[in-house]
Amino acid sequence: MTGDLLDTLSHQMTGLAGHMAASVVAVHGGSGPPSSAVVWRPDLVVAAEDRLDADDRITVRAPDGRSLTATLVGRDPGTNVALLRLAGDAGLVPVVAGDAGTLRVGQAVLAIGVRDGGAAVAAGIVHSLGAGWKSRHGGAIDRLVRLDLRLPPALEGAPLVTGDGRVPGVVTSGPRRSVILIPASTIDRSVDQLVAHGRIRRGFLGVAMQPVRLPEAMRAGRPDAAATAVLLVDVQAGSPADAGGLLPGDIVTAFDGTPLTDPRDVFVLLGSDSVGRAIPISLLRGGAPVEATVTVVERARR
Amino acid sequence: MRVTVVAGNPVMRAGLDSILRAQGFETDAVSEPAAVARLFGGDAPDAALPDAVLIDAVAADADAVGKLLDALPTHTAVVLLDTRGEAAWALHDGGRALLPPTATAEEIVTALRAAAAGLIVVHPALAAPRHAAPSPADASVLTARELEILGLLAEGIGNKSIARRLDISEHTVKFHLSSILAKLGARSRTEAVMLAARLGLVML
Repeated sequence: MTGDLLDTLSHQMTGLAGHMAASVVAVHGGSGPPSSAVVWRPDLVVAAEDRLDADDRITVRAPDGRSLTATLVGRDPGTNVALLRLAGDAGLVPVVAGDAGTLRVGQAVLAIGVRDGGAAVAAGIVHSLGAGWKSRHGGAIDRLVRLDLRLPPALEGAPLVTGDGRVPGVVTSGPRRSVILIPASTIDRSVDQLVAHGRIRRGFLGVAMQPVRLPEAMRAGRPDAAATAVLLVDVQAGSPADAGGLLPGDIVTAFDGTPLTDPRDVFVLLGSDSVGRAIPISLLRGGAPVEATVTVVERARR
Repeated sequence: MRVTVVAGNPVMRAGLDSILRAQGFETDAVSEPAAVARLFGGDAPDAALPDAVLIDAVAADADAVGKLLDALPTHTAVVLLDTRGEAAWALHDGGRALLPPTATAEEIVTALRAAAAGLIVVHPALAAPRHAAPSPADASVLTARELEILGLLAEGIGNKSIARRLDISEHTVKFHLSSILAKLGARSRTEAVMLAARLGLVML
């Protein structure tokens, strides 16, 4: 009976909203409306990094309206995670993380956050699933999960909730108006690093670069026949690039097997997962192809 | 209302001073931010503290301006005349106004009164975000301090840590940051690092 189906569906959705009440908060940091954030671990709240302008003056409100004191532990623009630490016992409950790897295309899901001083819910389904990808700010996202769900600004950073009450990740707007999930495993990695170091490690090569047009003759063999690559204008003495034998004037065409068309590509590839790795570099020196290996170090604290 | 005018250029100082007096403000005029900072830092009686500060920041040292902003009580209105910086800086604090050095006398007086009322004022000339791609000419105008901060931004650390590392105030860091964002045409710290890397200004 249609009536029964609607009642059952409503009953479950309102139940999940109630279940999440002690685990979501509203966060306001600077310009723009407040967004949602989720209690990830005891006293640690994960919020959407790009919604927080300022490092200080971040206000957090529980759904019951209480104002909570929170300090910023650190930011990971690559995964859009900002980590906040709550002062004192706020009486909030961390979510139970789910595995984004078990999501199925077409699965019904809810984004549950806070808006206008109370709980807010957006409902949708998993639209598509794909392999891990690199965000434009250099973060390694474990899976590509697109959601068919309308996400108002107030629900940016809200947890995604599956029927079993678990949270496989946090919702955020992705490129080209898409709504995507940042998987729980990705968030855990960012949170671990931020708790330990207050920041996300970046890889360091020791090069200054500019984009450069490749002559016709040198474009052959590149998967997309891309017309630009990366010119090294400076190599820092004693740096990994120096140790790897790179020279100013070298035109780098691939990094770790990935073709490069712009220094931006290098920025994206030097995320925390690059630190300590020996990375193959393909380059052109005086027009001739050369292969080199560079061991990336952590961008140093001076 | 009592206003302290801070301007290194004597003609500018005299000009701003007379504009304000003509509008009925009580004024003091000094040549550098440090002079005002000293006033607030010491045991000056409340009667001597100005309600507002009008700073010609165009040629002023950003660190000195930052130190002054730190020293001011929060209720003091601040009007900045500057070519650097962008709306985002002003929007972070109440009682602030950001005007270009070409602002008219009327705009300056209006901004002072609005800032004194706790409002944030941004001149349209400075409010429009940059849409154009950065040109090498703009970026070459980054100061040594700004390049230093850009390098620290690339490490991913926050403003507080940058301030500690360089032994300057967080306010000054934010001031430099908004200048960097404006010059590079970047909308975020990460974008600033990426754009700077493309221009060879930051090593990766």
